[in-house]
Amino acid sequence: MDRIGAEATGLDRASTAPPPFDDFYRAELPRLVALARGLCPPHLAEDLAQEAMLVAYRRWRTVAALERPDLWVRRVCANLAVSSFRRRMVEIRGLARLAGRREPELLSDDTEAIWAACRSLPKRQAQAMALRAVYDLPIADIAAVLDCSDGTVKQHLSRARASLRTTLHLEDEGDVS
Amino acid sequence: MTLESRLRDAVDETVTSQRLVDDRLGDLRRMRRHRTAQRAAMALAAVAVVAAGLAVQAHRPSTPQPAPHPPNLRGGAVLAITTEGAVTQVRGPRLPHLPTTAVATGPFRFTRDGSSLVYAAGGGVHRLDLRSGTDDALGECPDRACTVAYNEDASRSALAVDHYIVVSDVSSGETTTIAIGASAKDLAWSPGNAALAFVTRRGGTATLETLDLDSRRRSRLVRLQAGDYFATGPVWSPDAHQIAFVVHAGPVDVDSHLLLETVTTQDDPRSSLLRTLDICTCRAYAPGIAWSPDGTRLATTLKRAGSAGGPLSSLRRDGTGWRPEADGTFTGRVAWQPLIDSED
Repeated sequence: MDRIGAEATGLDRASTAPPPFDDFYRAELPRLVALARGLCPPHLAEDLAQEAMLVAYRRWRTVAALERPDLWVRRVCANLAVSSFRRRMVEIRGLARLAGRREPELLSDDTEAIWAACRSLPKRQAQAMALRAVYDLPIADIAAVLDCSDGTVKQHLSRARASLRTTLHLEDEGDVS
Repeated sequence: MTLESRLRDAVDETVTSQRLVDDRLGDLRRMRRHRTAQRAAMALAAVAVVAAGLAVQAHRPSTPQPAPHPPNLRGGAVLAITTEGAVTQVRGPRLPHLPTTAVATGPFRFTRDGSSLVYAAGGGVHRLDLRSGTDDALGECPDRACTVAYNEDASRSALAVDHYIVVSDVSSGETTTIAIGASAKDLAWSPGNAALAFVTRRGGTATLETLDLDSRRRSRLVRLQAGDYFATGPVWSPDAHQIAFVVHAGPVDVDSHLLLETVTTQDDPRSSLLRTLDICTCRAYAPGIAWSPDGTRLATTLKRAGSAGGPLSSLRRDGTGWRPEADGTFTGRVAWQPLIDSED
């Protein structure tokens, strides 16, 4: 069982009602949208974050019992963004349309440029970089979300930073892992 | 400015932009209700297929009343139109009389008993008796695309003019004008002739609506996102409980999606995505779609890369069971012939 999936044991969690989903949603959604912005086009990012939250909502009793429900929903979002992308996106868009879709918030050109550069990275590098940037997660937590080793995460981050600096014409200030 | 600080600023701005979290929480609950309803609808659809004979008699107070199925209805010939305008029979028992060409944007349907084909050619709309080969002129096309709709026995036509729909009786010429408050296109008569479905543009977005011809009541079934449009207009299922259509979603220049969807015509319309027909640069392509006479399958054309048309395929009404039917360069219109067993 990984760090995300380890369910709490004993009567203290199992016998009590799960914490309110609403609180979890309000705390997680804004950064989940930011994570999605780094992984998929802007007009889909909010729908994607909603989709990840919808999965959590439907399974809330189980998800709430996990050791780190926050990491779990970030993994869902990160995976949704890069796997079976087009087909999944279409379904998400269609369902979002039925529910009354909103237009995505407009961001500054600098911010859009950063997210566009992040999206242009290879999938795993983009996931690692977005998780690091949005949540300032330690290497071990990023590894837990991406289900890979710490060393792999460090390698992804190092390469991602190098690519981003090139793309954004930034100076090399040294790697921060 | 360092990469780390630029990333931090980007995250801060993106997070701060999410001010309407509580509104989106409401959206999330609606999405969940929709999905639950969709699953229930799928289960009901499975039951409905088994009990189709009973379902067509169900009472629907504010939506068009479908005409009952003729007895022992089964599928006959399937016709499609090529990009050159040639009428091609792609399956079913061979029809001895067929028009050579037809307009791929005009009327193209079998009459309810399957004995005649209504089609547009040479600037007019015709009714061809498939047994005798007798070809009768029904009327003139109002424009080059021949955007007029004929009902299932070709006794009435409907035409959109400005913000009105004009319904005409073919034999008497009597007309009725109905205001709908927006320009309409892609008119389609319901089975039983009780209603029309059509596409409008209201508030900058494409909308699929129905009009009950008795009560003049309009119902909005589908409203697309800004920029999306109906590549193929409404096609009623034989029981009038569903309407199929194709949505062109996404950017027009590259990687747009052609989505085959259905929507229920009940009081609480529910849309279902049956299949992504294509991810393509296909702004000008309008897939032809047709229901099988028993309402269990949909036939659809696809665009082949580098061609203006493509092959014909079919799938079940729940989106499963995809299978190729015929190769070709088909576009625009498909017609699936009803056949009635004579022994009953």
